[in-house]
Amino acid sequence: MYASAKPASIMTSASSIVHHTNGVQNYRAIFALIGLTGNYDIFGGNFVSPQSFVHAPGRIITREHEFIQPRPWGEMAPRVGADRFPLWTEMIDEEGQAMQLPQQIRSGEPYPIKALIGFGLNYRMWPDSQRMIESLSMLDFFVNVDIFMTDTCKYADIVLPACTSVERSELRCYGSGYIIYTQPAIAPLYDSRSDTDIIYALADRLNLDDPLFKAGYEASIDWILEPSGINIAELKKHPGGMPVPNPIKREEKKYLRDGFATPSGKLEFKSKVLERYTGRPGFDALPVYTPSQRSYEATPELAKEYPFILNTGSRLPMFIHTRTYRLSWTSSLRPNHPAADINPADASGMGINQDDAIHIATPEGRITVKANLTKMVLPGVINMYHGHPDADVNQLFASNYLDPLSGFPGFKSTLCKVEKAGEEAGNK
Amino acid sequence: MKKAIYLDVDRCVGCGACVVTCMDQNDIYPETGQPALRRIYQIEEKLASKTGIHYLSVACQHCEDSPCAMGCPTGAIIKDNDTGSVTVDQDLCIGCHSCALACPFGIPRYNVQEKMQKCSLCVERVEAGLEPACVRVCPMGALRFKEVNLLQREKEFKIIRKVVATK
Repeated sequence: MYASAKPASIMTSASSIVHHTNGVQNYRAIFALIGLTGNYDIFGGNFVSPQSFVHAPGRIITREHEFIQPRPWGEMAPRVGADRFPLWTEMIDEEGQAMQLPQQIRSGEPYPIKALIGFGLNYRMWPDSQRMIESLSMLDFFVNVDIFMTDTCKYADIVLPACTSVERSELRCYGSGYIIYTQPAIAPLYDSRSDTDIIYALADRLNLDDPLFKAGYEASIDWILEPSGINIAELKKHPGGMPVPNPIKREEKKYLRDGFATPSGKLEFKSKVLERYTGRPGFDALPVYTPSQRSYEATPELAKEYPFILNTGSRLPMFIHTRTYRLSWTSSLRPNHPAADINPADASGMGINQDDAIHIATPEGRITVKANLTKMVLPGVINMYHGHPDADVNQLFASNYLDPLSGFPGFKSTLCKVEKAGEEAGNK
Repeated sequence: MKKAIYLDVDRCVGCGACVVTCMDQNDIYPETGQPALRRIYQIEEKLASKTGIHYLSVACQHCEDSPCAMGCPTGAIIKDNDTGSVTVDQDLCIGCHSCALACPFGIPRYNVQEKMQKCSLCVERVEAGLEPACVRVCPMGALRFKEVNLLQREKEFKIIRKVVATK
């Protein structure tokens, strides 16, 4: 149907494919279809809108990248994860691979990490979350910035309270060619400050040799926006936002003019970048399917003891990561949480009824939750929402259960077993 | 003209925004044992070979001929003919649960003082010209607050348009 319909586009969700240990290659296979069917960068297909500001297209040219990265990586210390995830490091600018943080804190390689400042850092988002929080405890100095006193904040030497988005301004742009500098509805409450206030005040105290940091936040935004002809003073005259002047024309098939950012300049079904990594398992130049590192295909012996596929990281509308479990209004919507979804056919085979206590175990650990019988999950699959403080499912993942290409955790597919609580075999 | 809250089951995704805003509007704190006035249900039924999942946002239907009011021995439940709302005067409620027996929808709930508690159609908002809180917040447009015959007219037109279009 996809191949015969024109135009047609493929929409993928934010995490369901990349959160596999074979995520990048699976993504490449899917994206190859876009090229094969001629649906790349055409109206109604997978049209490419260049990003303007904070990953959003705004039909303007900005200097965001130059602001974030004033110096090339070669002139700076190697990024966290550069040695372990060379392909990701080569392909992704502006970021380190944070999944490698616990490992580097522990090993001190390639250099020791002594202090860390986190903005909304949430240790429960790491596989083997317990290991992550223990690693944070090993730092000499740890500062966390957050709106709430989260479990991660409790481990910090200093917690800096951030204000919410209604207490600060922010620049936002939209794909339709609209831009707004939002006005705060109220002043920041108590001692809270906006993230950018905190960053600029810290830079000031550290007396960083950076003229833009010294000039301040709004001056920095003006610098970033300069090529677009828009500035903060103009935006403040339009508190409801404004259409961008001279929006970039929407053009199809921009690759005919600009080429692709690949060694061949073409869309590569067989990646010339990956060819350089030949020999590393999983780094095939063609998007070859490799089973998940823990699966029936890859680890049949393990699958005998752990016969279920464990899936985590999906969300319910009322629970975003760990954020709203602690609020009685939202938690009352799912009063049986923490609970894991199990197909009624699997549950009946094990004598498990709705809300029965069950253990979910992997070789890494075990959590006890309630059973939620639902056909939302297929037979043979257990789905557990992540981040619950009473049953943190990410503890059940090994810290190295990562896609070797991207360093992304394989949250969507590992092996586990399920037992009705009180009926465990022996003393496992 | 009286208005009523209608739920379009095909639009509801069970996000619970209506339940949370209802708690906010009515100062309900579940941790104190107060029951919610609006609730979400997830229904999974197998139709032929397909599993369908449906969500329903449920609260008092504010029946025209309210069996709960008729069953109440103390006159604590009042049907207001201007707004169409059915409300409870908790000072008069003796916690006898007659309304629970009478209600065909299982709506009445009892708080820690054993007083009946249910949706009031946000009558104080409605009288001020506002929509009920749940309707205002529904991101899917599944909950709507309109004159009964007007909603029916819209539905009628939608169906007619569909019939004509398929010809």
